[in-house]
Amino acid sequence: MRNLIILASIQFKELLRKKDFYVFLVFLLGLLFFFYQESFFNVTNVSRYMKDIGLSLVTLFSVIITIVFSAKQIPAELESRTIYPLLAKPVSRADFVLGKFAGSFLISAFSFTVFYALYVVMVTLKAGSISLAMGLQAYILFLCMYAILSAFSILFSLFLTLSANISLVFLLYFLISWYNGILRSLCLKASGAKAFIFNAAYYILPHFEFFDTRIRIVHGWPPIPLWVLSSIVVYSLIYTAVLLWAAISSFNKKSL
Amino acid sequence: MKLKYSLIIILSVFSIAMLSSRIDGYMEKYISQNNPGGSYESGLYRMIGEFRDYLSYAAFLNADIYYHGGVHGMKDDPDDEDFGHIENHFEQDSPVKKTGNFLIDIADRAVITDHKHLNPAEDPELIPWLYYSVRLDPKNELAYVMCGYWLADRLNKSDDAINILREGIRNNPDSWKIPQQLGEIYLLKKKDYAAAAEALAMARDNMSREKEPVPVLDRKGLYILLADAYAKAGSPEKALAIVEELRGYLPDDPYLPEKAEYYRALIK
Repeated sequence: MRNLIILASIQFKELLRKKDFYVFLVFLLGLLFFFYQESFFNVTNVSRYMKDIGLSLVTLFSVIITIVFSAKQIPAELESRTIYPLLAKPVSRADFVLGKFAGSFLISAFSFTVFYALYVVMVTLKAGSISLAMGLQAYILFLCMYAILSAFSILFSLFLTLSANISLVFLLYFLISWYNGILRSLCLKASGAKAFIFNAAYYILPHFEFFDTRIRIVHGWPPIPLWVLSSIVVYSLIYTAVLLWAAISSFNKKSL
Repeated sequence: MKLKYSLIIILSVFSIAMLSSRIDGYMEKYISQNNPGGSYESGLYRMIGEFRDYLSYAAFLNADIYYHGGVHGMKDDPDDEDFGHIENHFEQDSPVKKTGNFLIDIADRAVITDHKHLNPAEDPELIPWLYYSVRLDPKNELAYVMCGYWLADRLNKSDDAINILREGIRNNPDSWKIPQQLGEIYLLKKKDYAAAAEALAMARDNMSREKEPVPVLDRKGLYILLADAYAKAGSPEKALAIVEELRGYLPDDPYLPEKAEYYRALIK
């Protein structure tokens, strides 16, 4: 556990040292301010566009930070050969992978928390308030999503080059977020062997749509029922655990 | 390093795109006040070309999505006045039923699959997307028409509607839909019958130059409005001529002889 904390804290310091996070923060602040002061024909009571675009930007910037930082961790250690003295110490390969994941997730969670807090403040100034229950649900679910994305990037970084890894995880995220409805329809309409294949694919592929609560927040829909929220959190924990188990198994077999 | 620079470039372009809509708004206002016959081509339009058209279409679709509580409208709404009600988005498979696939059951409860209509108090929420739609693509006729309709009919801002529709006419001089909407606002909201007749006559001229056949109901809608505007502006003989012209297109319409008779009585 101590090893994990040390590895994670080193990574977290890297986030604060590098400029990427600050670039996103300044852009987000600028864009939120721009949307905050937008006026459309002097019409009052207009705020949903800001909730919508603002949350999309927060999500996108956090996804970028999560994927890019997570994908860089292991290849950077291999490239600079700093992994060898690290593994020579009493740090197992499993500790190393889990530490890298913990650090990446910490970075994602911190970035998202800062962006989300800024978003909530700006939206509250413009629109009055955001439902507390919905705001909390969104926060929890987005964190779960970043855990899965981070685990994917760590796993793929063991097999792919940095650019291929980043591209693949982005592709996976956007394709599944946009086209999950097609797979759902195929599962329900197919029969026999086809139904089995589609349902298996549905279980295997990650479901990023579970975590996207933008429509609920923007359009004033009620919060997700508690048992559904709990199921999604458990789903994300299991999915992340399986990805990390795969990453540790692969890393154990990898010759350095 | 390359990644960082790419991100900065992407974010900068995005920021310029956002600012461009504001700059375009000021330029359109300046042209309408100082050079009514002039036109203005946005800097961003020149930079990203036709991609802006797609963005404009996306913004226009977003207005529809907002009207339906965040999901695509399934079909034309049979009862437009039934605000706030919730309809099932999937026709065949209800999202509250169990499907046999646990994850689909979860998805159907986590993801919004119903649609609801905006309450009248929430009507302003559509305006930003219609605004962005016309700013992104000044050739998007339908966006101008919807923007004008929404401002005048739903938000009671007829003057703003007239300004945006006049801008639409400047950018789409061959359109008949935009001057028709403008004429309708002058006729029904502003009660300025001469201005209404002028705008609707322009719409009729543009319609007559249409290369594609115009649906007969669209023609009827425009001609009836134009005749009404002429009659109220004190020219019942022009109103009668319009109705007679329309009878050429709709010889079996039982309503038109009655309307013609009414205008004849006004002439007498």
